[in-house]
Amino acid sequence: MSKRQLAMVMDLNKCIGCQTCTVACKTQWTNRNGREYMYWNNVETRPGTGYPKGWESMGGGFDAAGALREGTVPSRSGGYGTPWDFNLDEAALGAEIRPQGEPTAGPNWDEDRGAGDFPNSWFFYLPRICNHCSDPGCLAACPRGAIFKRDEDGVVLVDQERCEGLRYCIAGCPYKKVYFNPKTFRSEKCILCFPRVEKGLAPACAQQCVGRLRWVGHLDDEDGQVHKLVRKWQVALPLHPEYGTQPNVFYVPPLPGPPKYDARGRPIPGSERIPMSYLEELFGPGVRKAVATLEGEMARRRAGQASEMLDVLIAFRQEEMFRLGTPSSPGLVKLGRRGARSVDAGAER
Amino acid sequence: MKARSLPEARGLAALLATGLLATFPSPAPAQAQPAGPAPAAAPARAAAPGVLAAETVLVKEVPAPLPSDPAAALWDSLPATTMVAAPQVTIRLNDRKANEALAKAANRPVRVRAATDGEALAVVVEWPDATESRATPDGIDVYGDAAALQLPLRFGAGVRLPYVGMGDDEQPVAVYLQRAAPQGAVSRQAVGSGFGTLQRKDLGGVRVGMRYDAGAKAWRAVFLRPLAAGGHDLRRGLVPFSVAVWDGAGLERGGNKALGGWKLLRLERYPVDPTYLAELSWGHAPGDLGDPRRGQELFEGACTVCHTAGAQRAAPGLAPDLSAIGAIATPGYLRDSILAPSAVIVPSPNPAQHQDRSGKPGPTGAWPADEGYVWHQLGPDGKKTSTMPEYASMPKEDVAAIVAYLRTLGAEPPGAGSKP
Repeated sequence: MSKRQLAMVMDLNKCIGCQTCTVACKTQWTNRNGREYMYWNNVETRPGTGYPKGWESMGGGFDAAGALREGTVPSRSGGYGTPWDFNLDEAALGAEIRPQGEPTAGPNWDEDRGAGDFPNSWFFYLPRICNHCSDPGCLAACPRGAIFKRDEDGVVLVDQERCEGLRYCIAGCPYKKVYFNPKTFRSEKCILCFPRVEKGLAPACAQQCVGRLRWVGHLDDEDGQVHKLVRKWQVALPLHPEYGTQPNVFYVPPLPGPPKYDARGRPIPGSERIPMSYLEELFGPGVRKAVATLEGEMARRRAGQASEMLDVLIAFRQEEMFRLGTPSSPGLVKLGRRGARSVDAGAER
Repeated sequence: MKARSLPEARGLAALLATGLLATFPSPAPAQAQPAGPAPAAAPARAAAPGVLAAETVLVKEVPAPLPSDPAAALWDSLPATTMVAAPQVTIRLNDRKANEALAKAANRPVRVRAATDGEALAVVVEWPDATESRATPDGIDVYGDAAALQLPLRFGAGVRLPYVGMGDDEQPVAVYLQRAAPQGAVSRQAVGSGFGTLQRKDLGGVRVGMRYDAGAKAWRAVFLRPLAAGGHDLRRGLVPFSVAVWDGAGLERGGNKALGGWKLLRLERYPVDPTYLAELSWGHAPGDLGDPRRGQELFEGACTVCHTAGAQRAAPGLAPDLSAIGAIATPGYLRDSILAPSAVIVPSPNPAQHQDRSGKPGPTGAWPADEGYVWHQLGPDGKKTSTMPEYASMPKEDVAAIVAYLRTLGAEPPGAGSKP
């Protein structure tokens, strides 16, 4: 059990599915040495089967009594998929562009498929990293005690010296965010870019996000925007809280959207493009209140009133989205275009 | 903890007269020895020349150098002892598909041969397996077949055997493992003191090799090490060992495996210590133990509150599941677990598997671990006490009866219907 917890908030209303986060993570950590197939960060399309395919029906996490649930380890072909290339050389000579080999799964397999019929179709993007849970299923499942949470920030890590590649952690994680590296014969996962965080830099996925939808900070930092969104305003919710692991990535749910249209193209008053029941499936019963709060704030703003919450969600200044130290800690850093610089060092200049 | 109940002196002379010393040299032909340690096998054991014969592998003296190649012709000429490896059910792991395979898994016959050239010791482990499973360069849910040899780091008169599940706090073990890789085998050496404690360590001069015989549908694994290496000296008349095998097709890895109980290597060049022999053979001689039916009554009257055994299910995780204990535990260990359970603390599985939702959450909201699933208490002096109550005053014959019953659990001899 860690003393503090670094958390991330992602606003799903702002995600455009550009995969810049995915690429930022991949080029930083997973483009080599047996990690090629892994996406520690992926953006999947909802509704859909997700990545790895069907992860929500693979078990893991805890039951209502607090006991670890059994789970399964995804397969390469049916779950993660193998990265494929395209026949670009042939395509240059006029052939139809085709993948080489038969793709079976991928990090955004359900891309833009969505649900509903035109003009009432809908989908949204769901970026996912390790949730750095307060009660990690992976940690509970490891028979060797090789997984630990860092005291200072709750980052969940696999001790590569202790890991023997047994993969019970993969079965234990209900989000399937631990990956087996067949080359090193160890399990690996998102490390919340702790080497960057220790230097005052936000995780690569958050820093590179062009939509400015990721906030990073300590949950107990009451002046931080993460604390305000999660604890004070309660508009950011964990994914599948019923899994019992107490995730520390929180999502501002997508608003149910514009109303549906009837056959003659007229809006149906009170209708929801994205079914609230679907959002409840993902984010639990708290999602109704969160959506109501968000809609209330938007109405206030439309009426010309101030809304700190919307100002935070708009994210006028990216550097305010990341607070990796605390006011009481000499390690407090702010991030600007020039990168990390400690407040103390800055004051000396 | 060395304060053990002393071996009953009464049987010692008789045991030595009819026992192990008289048994060898008379190499046991392959598969000649009854494998099951269950009381059901007692008549067969009575017919065997020595009380521990079924538990013992004769280490044949051969000219140097010993090969480590599993294809070497030498191995077929060595006497073989067949023993039972039982699927591990003491603790339950969390892979659903692996647990489904485990529910169908049967005891496996494992044939062990051994040889020495005076410098090195070779232990050869052979077991049937319908499929050759190897790790693959990109397999995520693919597991290689594997085998391991376990040796106590300390052994001899007055030193109790380590807990068979990779040792315990006081009695560590050396573990030699090999696992089928895309090509050849991956070798691991480690020392351990209980579940989850294996620490990789170069144990010195170890060579291994494993080979699948597609015709016979069986693996042969060779473990070769110096007789004496790094202070771990095996130059004694009786050396305890145990083996484990993994079936990759059954998603077996780590604690999910088939393991055998402690057996003995007999090195004829060194004398047998009669005191050690007597300590090891408690309850092995026919008639030593009580009536298993009475033992079952006693067991079901008290022990199944925490322990699962066969059809008697306790809440999972409260205590070691004893459904296959007869295949892996010696009678002496079972006796001591009843009389002095704190002498060997069986390490609990990862305590984080059970959240205490009535407890006070930590600073980040994490639930405390449910202490009801931890199998020991820590004293102020840091000493562990087993949560199992001591039955030191239980009448001897009741203890023997319970041990007799426990010896029947999971101890079915391998045969038709075995999963491999």
